[in-house]
Amino acid sequence: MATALPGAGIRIADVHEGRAVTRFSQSLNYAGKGIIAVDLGLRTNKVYQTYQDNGEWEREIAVQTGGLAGATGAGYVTGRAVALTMTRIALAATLWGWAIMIGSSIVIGAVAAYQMDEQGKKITSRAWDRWIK
Amino acid sequence: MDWLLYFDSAFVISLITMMLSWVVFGRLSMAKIEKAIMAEGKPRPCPWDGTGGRLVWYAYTVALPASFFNEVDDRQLKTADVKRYTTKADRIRAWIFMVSGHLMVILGLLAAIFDIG
Repeated sequence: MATALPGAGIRIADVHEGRAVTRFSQSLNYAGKGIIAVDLGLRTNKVYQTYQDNGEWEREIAVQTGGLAGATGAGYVTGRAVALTMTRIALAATLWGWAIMIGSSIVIGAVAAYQMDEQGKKITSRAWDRWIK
Repeated sequence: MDWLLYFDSAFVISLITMMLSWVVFGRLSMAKIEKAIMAEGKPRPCPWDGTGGRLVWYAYTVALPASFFNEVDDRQLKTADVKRYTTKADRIRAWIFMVSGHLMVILGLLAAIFDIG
């Protein structure tokens, strides 16, 4: 008999499945923090390199901020929209359905985030050159 | 002004509005609602989230009517719990985030698909 995990509310069959859900949630939690930290570090380094090369570091801050905000926002918004679509067809009704839903949200969200990083940087740099210069 | 400047302006304005509304909704609405839920003795919703992305889940739940969500949605974030502590100000903040965030995504995807600029 499946029971509901307190808080998460996912139907689990036994203790083993419950531990799997907890491990999966914790992994996602740490992975998310890690990805954001690495991304932030790389972007900060890029701004610093531009500064060292006597480049337009203010422009680089705007461009990297556009990329980071665009990627993060698009990743989560798209991920949420995918998750919502899947709940419409009740795909997340079981443990594995839930895992597929989260996995698909992450993959599609990541693709959207990558695209938005590229577009965010491109559009922000173009806007900077036309407005500020 | 050419259409590309309008397009870029719309993207940048929606991006900045999304960033600001993320902070405002997160601090003034999500934090308040989450605190109230946890004060009931319940665990923090969306345990998989480590970076604050659950804010989008809260924004959807606050902005849209309760009838929109089904039992499966409730397994991430209980609609009834969130609605119990939602005020009109929370709904306005959520809608500002929803409109600016989705507009930014749509404009960004259009730029990627049609290789604008």
